[in-house]
Amino acid sequence: MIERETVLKIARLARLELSAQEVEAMQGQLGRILSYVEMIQGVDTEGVEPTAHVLDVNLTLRPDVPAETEVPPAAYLKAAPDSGYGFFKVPRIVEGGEHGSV
Amino acid sequence: MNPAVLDRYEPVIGLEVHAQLSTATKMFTAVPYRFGVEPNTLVDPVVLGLPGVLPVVNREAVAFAVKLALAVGGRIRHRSRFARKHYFYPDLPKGYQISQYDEPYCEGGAVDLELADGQRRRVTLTRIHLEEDSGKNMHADAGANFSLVDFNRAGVPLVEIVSEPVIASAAEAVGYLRALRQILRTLGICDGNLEEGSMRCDANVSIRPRGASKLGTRTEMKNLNSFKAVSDAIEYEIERQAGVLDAGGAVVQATLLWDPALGQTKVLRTKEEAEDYRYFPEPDLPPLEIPQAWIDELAAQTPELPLALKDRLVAQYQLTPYDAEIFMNNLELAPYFERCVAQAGGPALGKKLANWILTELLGAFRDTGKIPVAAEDLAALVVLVEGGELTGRNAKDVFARLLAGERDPRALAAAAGLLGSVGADGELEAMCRELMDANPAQVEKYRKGKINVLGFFVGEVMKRTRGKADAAAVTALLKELLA
Repeated sequence: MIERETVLKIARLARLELSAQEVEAMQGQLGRILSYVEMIQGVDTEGVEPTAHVLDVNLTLRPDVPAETEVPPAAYLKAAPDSGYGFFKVPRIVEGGEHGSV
Repeated sequence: MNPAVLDRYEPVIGLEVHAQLSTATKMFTAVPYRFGVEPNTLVDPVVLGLPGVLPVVNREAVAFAVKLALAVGGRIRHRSRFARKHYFYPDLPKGYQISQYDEPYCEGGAVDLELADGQRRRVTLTRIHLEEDSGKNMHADAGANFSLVDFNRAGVPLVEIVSEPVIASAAEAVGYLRALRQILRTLGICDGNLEEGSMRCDANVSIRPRGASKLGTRTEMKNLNSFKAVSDAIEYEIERQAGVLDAGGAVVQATLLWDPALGQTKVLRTKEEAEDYRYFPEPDLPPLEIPQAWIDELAAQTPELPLALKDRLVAQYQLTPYDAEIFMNNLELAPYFERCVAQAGGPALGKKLANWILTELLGAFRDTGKIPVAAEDLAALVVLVEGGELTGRNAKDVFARLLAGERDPRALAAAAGLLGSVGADGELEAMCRELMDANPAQVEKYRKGKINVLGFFVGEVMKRTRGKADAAAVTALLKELLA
């Protein structure tokens, strides 16, 4: 079992709305996942290379050459729940200013 | 800012700079990017984070990032990792940003800068990592119940350059940004345009009483999109924090948004609301390998850095620091200058060539962005002048013709009868006397005190010699004869 507060925090970060029963169920399920991880953490990994990726492959790099787009950009706007003026429309953002990159 | 604040408190500033890499395509997909085009026209399924897509790393973006690491002397990790940074915001299509976290490709390094008074500083770096840019939110009218999102910028490759908290003033912060921008431009990896957002800056600011060793609580300021904003915001924040401490209060750790119009900050979020980004290794990308052979290849392409260039121009050609700085700020002109020097036979004429470039050629260069006169032609012109074969005045006429696209100053000067100078063996004196004999009334006027008649005689001599006489020498000689 993990703390109810922890479940609520994780749910808030993931923008999930959980009912009281769901919170309780998550406390149990997340708790079991954590005990599993605890068990794994008990294994002696001295001298074992950390696994950065499950496949033993090198990252393939792509040449910096523009490709023709297969789908006209306007098609994406059409597929969006709401759009206008060439933009995707979203519910009004209340936080001040532009978020930019952080 | 009230300077007394700085007597009592020591500011400690660290900067995080995001620089857009000017690659042809985005970080993880082959869509091009340009600033200021129609919204949502530079997108594809990867940019928009549609289900089932996979990122493929742009090799050039990695090469650009490595060049920067080499230029600042950072330690390059041969095997680094991408990580997912999670937050929800409409301009972030996937709900996470692909970034680097615990294994950035570069750690350490430093940027050297020069302040307005010529003092040098070194700002050490914590790290540089590769990541992707977000889209842009537009806020409609105050009354509207929606916002607009443009994903053209989403996925553009970025380097985030994180400095150590070693910057001591707003002026140093701006000096650091200028130096960093010059490095980015010299390397040709970012255009450094703050207004268009290709280079963006966040500042971490804290203050502590002078002599204290413990750092104060810091605030992070965002939205600093001009050098003036960086300077104003830092000074504002130093003064605000000093006010809080002076009143016996405590600075609250927070993220602040700088409002350049109001000249003040507003709180975006406090520590309690701090983002929890839940980083984890990016499962869609194996580790990024940067082998030594590739680093060596890129190192061979790394040009001389701006400040090093300035120092070398001063040492090698005795240019003034002021002139050397103009070359530093107009980087295409420096190699041109050095080609001129080589054509003119060595560094002896360096200072003269620099003068010609900076007084006569710079204007045309700035207007057109092109160097208008071939290096060998400018060198030949200066050699003619310094060899006494062409007067400075006539050289300007020849230069005007070079600017207009003509070539070969020696041939131009010869064809116009401007080569060779008049003045030897009493030739000038004879000419002056002849003039005086032909104009007794003017001579009389001069001797009665109308000294501006001198201009008439000088003008006549220059006309007769077709400008080949040295105007100063002619003036001196005439004064002597008319006295």
